[in-house]
Amino acid sequence: MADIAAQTTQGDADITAESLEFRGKTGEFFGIWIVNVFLTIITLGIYSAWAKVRTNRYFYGNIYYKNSAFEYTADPIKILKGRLLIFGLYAVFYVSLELLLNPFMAGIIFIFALIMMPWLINRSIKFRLHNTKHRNIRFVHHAHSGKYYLFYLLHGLLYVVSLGFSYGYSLSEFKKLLFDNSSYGSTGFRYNGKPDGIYWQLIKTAGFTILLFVILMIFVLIISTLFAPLFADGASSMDSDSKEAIKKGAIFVLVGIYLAYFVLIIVGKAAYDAFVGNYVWGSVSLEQTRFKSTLKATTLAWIYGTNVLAVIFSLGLFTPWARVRITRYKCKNFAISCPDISSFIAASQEDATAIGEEAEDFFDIDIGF
Amino acid sequence: MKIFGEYFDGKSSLAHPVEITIIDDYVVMIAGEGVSIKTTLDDIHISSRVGNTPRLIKLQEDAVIHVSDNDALDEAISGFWHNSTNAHGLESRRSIIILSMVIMLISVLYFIFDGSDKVAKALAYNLPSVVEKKIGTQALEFIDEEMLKPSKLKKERQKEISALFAKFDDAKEYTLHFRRGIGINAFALPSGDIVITDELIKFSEGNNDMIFGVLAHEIGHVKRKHSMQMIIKASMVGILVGYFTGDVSTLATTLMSSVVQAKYSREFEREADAFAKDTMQKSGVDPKNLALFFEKMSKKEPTHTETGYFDSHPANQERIDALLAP
Repeated sequence: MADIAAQTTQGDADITAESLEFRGKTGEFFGIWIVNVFLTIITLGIYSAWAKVRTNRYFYGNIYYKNSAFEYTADPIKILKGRLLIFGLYAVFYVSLELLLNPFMAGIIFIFALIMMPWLINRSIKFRLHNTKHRNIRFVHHAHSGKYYLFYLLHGLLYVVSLGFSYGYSLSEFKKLLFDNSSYGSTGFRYNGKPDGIYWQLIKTAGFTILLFVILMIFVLIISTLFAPLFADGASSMDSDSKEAIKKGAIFVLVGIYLAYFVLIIVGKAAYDAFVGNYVWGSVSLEQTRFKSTLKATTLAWIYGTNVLAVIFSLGLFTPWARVRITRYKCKNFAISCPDISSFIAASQEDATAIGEEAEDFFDIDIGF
Repeated sequence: MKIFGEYFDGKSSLAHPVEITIIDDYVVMIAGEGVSIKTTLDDIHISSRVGNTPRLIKLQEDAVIHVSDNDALDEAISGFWHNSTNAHGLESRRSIIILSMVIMLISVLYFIFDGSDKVAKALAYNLPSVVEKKIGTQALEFIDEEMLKPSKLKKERQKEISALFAKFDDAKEYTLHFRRGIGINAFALPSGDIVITDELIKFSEGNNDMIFGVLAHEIGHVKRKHSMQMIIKASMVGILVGYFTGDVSTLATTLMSSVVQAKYSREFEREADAFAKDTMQKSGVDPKNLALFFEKMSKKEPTHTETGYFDSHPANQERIDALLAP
């Protein structure tokens, strides 16, 4: 296995990587999005499954690699079933806890949901990959739920025992589970990353987050010191009492804390997505094909931060703009070097049917990975 | 009519450029290098349109043709299908988009305002009493300095009213303060400090049942955490506005004045009235005395709203009727 990897790394030096191209437009997506929102509201949420399918079809269908668009083929009914199940479980949980005041029943539902979780995650991944196509070849995930149960049991335990320090190792193992059991048609993905690589990216993530956070906070501090005299003037005319000024200062600090919290989350997520994401994709191979993610933590933080603000202050109306913007950036920074795009073969008929049935006879739930 | 597309057989990722011809709105001819298929519109499935993403013509055995020219395809099949799936029609019609926008904005605004009420209520009921005490005492200090004057009421009369106040079930949790200088008024702070003015006591013309009713009403506000909810709501909006504009001093003043100038909503007044009515009935006092107070207030002078900062009790017939109802 190791020498195949070595061989291919040498072989692909001369193949140039080509970026994904995103052809979606804010104006066009706005129409789709706003009608989705409208129909979801008037159908009390039922349409949300169709909305999700149309949204995914729009995004997948606008991502091109070598002039061919991706395809999203999910059936909205299956997504609706998944959502109804989750909603139903939650409703029963809520009713038994809050209205019937029956913590025993609520507890049973909670444990049931917990036990189901690895299975649901597995099915969800299968569903998502199965419903993604490029050049009419389906992606496949063929891991059995057993592997997921083993993973969550083992790594859950490890996490507790190691006081959380096993996170990097577990993440590495999860990526391995994910990629090594996935394929494009009959061609398998392989994850060649190492835990120490992930740990190094996590350290970079933490370092970057702290650094940028400190810089931003110093900046805020300077601004607020500059504004402080103005602010004190206004206060003194109101009250001679210094107690009042302290009260106002406290509110100032409170606003600052909100701001700091917001900045920390955005910067942290951007750094994680950039460092860990770039590393993981750099470690994935699909036979001769290699992937290269070149996200920049600073640019990502800027896009995330301004997107959140734009969406909040436009009361949601800028959501399509934000989504198109982030997708365009991510596509531009995701390159694939593939020696021959025309030579991939679909999964064998028996495999495709078996996995397809398994993926299709259940549904998608919205879990982020 | 000719349409160009890329044919994929579903077995390999090799693309075959093809030309699609639809004859007599029914027969479909697909021709390209290594591909020659004759089928009909009944035997193929064309995916619905989403923006300008490529359409998929699904043929037998997993074969698919990607067609990028959406308009040409729509035109070619318009004679056969009268566009059965119409989501794209909605998504590209300006009037529908504007209607959707309006409905969405109304929903978002409704959620923000209704949601903030609920959050304020939940927070108000779960705040530690230390916070309520702190806010209440500070507010009282502030108002004492700025607006209130010490009471000039005779000691005996004060004692009489304090005795009245002591009749409440949990009177120990509240403190009654006598003040003057803000017209006919009474108000309650989250800490359980209740202020009644000399002017109000004089206005009652010795009707102690009326005063009892007013005090019960104020206790109702404390019990239902009304002022705390108002403060939380004011600070939520204040923090947002302050954050947006960067103007912190206005934020601070709004916050303080919201404590003081709390104009309760009709709902809060109704709740406090209901509480007062209940308490009065339990203590053997006729609720009509409180109704009488509202009536007297509204008769006294139509401009009474200008008399004091704390006049947040607009007397109205509805409230009087509710108190008089059996």
